[in-house]
Amino acid sequence: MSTVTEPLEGVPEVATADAGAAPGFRRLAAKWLLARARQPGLTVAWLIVVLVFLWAVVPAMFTTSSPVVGNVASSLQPPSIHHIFGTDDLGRDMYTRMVYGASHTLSATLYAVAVGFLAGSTIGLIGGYAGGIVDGVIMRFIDVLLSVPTLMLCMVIVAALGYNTLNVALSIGIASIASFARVMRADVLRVVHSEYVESSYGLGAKRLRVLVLHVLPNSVGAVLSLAALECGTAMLAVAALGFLGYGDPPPTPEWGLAVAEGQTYLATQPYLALIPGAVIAVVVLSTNRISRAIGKGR
Amino acid sequence: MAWIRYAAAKVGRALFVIWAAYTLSFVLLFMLPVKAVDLLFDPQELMTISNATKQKVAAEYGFNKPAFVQYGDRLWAALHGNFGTSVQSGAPVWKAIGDVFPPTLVLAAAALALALAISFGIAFFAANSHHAWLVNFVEALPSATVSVPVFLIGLIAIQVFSFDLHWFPPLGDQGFGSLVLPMFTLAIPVAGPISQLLVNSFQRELAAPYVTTSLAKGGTRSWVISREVFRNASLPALTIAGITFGNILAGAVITETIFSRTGLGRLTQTAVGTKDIPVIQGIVVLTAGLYAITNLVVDFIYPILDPRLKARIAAT
Repeated sequence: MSTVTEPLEGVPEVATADAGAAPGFRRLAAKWLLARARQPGLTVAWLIVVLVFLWAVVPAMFTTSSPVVGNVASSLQPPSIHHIFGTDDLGRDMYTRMVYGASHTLSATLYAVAVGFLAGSTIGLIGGYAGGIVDGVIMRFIDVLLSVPTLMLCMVIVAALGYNTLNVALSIGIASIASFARVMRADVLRVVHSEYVESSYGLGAKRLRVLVLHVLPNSVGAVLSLAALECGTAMLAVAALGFLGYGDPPPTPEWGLAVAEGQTYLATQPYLALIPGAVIAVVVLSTNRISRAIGKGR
Repeated sequence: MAWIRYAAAKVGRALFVIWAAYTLSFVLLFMLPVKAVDLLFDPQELMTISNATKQKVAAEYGFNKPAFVQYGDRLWAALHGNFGTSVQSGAPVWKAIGDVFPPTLVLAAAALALALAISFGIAFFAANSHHAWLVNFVEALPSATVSVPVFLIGLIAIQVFSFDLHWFPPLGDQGFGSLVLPMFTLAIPVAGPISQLLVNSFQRELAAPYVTTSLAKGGTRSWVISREVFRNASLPALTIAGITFGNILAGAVITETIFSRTGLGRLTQTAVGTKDIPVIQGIVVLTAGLYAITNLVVDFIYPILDPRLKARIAAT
């Protein structure tokens, strides 16, 4: 928590010390630091998400050992200064595996949200804008998607497509189409009946022009904040399906799979399963905290 | 007349959802895989099976017929209750599912009861407590529970209550003792959305004019909450019955896997793991059917409990 209180104490110093040089920037920075200090939870959430993002992009910067090849001589060691998250049965450093696993879990999550966002909002946009039979067919299709629980729908799709993390992500994306489409459709319906859209028609605008210029920009906000919220949900689903063994096979350091691998040693080395699980929980909590803040800011 | 039309529309929608789930799973499971026949064999033994055997099995399952003929045949059989046989056990699909359904039902019912108790507890507490920080903490719980993976809750429960305290067995499904940990594991994620909704609707109802009136007439806060707010505020929980049902089933897959319990969730997990296509399709149709029935029941109960909706239906 010390990192959170530091900016608060530093603020007056920054503001008064050399106010002569670029006062605008200083004031902005001070204001930003103050805002961060007032919401310590949100600040910590951002720090965690940025850290995990860096893990995914440049893992070699955070660790020097290998996530796949271990030193059998030092297997199953509890957390210590040398191995802060301990080592697994093959002597691989668990911290290193978490760092390298970030890219698997994170890219699958983003891929899933992108699929759901693009397909869902396109379907919702078409349904809300076209109306009539098209809308009816689309709504019934959404009903069906909603009638099978997300995790089960994902399992069915993965069973049909084959077991790997890419298909897991695709299945989660497909399963989330329904919620994106419903939110998008509701907003499009609201915008379509607004006065500015009607007046645009009155001025002789074509349907496509109205769609791109007025309907789309005014209805995309709600789905965007849903996309932020969906990141946490999708990450949980990626981890759950990885845990069940439908993602890439070992030795992939994917977080959900790591929990499943650690489960074997739960009685003797509980940290092996609990640490990856805690990493997932902390990252999802942070993502949800941030998306709630984004939702409120709108 | 309005009621008959209302009922017909709701029943028709439920039947449509079941049919569409069947069709969707048919397309996904029988049409999408390039070689549907290969899925009928154990992946490890696939290399050792001759082409002649494959062809014979393909003919038996009707895979060499045109897609829509296959669809028609299978749908006709399914309407007569025949979903084919499990690839793994050779038993009829309905028997394979029926055998594991009761334990899941017991687990689901226990978890739902516990989840409701937790949710109402949180909502009552948040509505009654005078300590702001405590209310804030309790109100933050629901969104926290939906952020924690179900398997982590289960593993922590095993670690603490089985390995450390030796209170309950870590796995199995013998007796009541083995039900306690899975029940808690499943109840926590199920309670999340329900308590979130209840906390909000208690707050909304507490701000309503009738509460002010009751308080002005001399009712105590807890009297007003238990007699008047409770009923009005808990009604909206019915609207997420479908979501709750889905959460229970999805949670059952993971809970039953962690605790090695027999059940529908475990069957789903093994069926997907071994690509037991007929069983997977049976489970998809069953869950869609149960979901449709849940929503149908809510559609019929809600107007009885909420007179405003009753009036609206009668007016159409």
